[in-house]
Amino acid sequence: MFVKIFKHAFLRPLKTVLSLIAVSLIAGILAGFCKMMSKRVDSDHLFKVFRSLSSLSTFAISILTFAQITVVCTSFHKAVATDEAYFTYTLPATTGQQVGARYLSLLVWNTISLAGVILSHFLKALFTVKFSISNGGVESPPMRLNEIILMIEIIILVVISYLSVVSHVQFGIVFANALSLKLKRKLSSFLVGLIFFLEFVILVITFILSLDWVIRKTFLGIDFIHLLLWILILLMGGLGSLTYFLTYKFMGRWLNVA
Amino acid sequence: MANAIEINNLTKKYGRKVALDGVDLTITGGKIVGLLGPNGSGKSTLFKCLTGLLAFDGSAKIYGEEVGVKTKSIVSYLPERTYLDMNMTAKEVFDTFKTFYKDFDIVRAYELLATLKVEKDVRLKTLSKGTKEKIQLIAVMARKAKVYLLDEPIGGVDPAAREFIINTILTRVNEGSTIVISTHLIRDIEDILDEYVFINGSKIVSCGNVKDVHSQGKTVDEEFREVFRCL
Repeated sequence: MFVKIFKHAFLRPLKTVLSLIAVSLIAGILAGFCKMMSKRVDSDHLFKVFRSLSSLSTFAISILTFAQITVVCTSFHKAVATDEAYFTYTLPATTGQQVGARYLSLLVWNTISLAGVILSHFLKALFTVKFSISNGGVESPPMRLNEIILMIEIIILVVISYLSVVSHVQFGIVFANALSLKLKRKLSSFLVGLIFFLEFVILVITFILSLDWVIRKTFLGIDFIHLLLWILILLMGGLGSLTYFLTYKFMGRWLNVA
Repeated sequence: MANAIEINNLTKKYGRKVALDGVDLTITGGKIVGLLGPNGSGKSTLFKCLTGLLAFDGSAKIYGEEVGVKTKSIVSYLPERTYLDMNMTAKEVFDTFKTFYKDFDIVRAYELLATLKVEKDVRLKTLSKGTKEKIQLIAVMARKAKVYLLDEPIGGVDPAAREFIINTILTRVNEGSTIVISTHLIRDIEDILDEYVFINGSKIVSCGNVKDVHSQGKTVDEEFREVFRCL
């Protein structure tokens, strides 16, 4: 049943999201082309036109990425928080299967959207950046063990943070819907948004403070950086697990259709 | 015949409001039962409890199993509202049901759809409200389920549509299956019922056999009015 729910949830926004990604890639090519042309034209007027088109296309990539994520989240919202929930919650599946499959679908779609935006910017860069495989004969110094570990830790932190953000999104939708059974829908969404904003502010402050320590690493030593990174990994992992667990609890008991 | 539904001391509260208050009810298998009561009497809430949509206190068993994943696979439920994705076509709806329910008879679904004269590739959002409801009913009734819970299937539809709905219910695939229909339009479905359950004010008020009522020279509708006049 897990696979069936995942497939159903994944295929639902397929056409819309793929269309948006395709447009985003075209916007990337257009942005790159216009930027390249702006450097080649002599006319001041044409320079402004190409420059504006390039900026607009770059802006369009951001809007399209936002639209993709919105479509994916809306699809999840419709399945669990609208009349369609009557279908969702009468399926012969456990809460674990429902939460897990839908989380995976959100995760995969958001990853595809991110890959889409990266590819769009890469296509844009292709027109203007000159890539060089050669490093001019200068050999990079071999990485020290500590640097390798540091790099792995940063990668783990990024991955865990990403998983946690997706879990937050899922929980936000579920929690807002559960609240809307008691409060007005707009107020519920506002409250959830406010809670996440405050959490985000606290996390940003933590990150900034951490960054400040990283900058002053010479005084604190590399061991402290490792410790700090692991604290952040555990913090993000803990928040992600907590929101996943709460989603499970809400979907299992409190997210009942009224 | 085994008990299809066994409910013991089922209580459901929405905050302080009691929607179902210590309900006890047993429905034997293979019958068509009318769950009859005025609006707000607790009919829909009882169905939601039986389908696992609402958590409740007490016990509710379907063919000996407490309401849960197992019972969801043998219960086919028609809610009082349209729950299908309006961007889907009838074909996609049937394919989705086929994916999730092993007991879904897709051939039967297309047979019923043909009687509606609706193209399978037309999006639901382009169809009338009545046709959407009929397609939903077809999807629900095309399952070879042991228990069908139909919440207000004839509410808000025209007489011709009512005839289609009643015929679809009567020509159910599973002969041994149990059908519970909730409605306040008793006269329209009286002829197809084997048993009736009157519900009001979050409690079961009365239940019995339709034949027994008829043998007293009364209709269920008259019995309903009589019982509710006394309350």
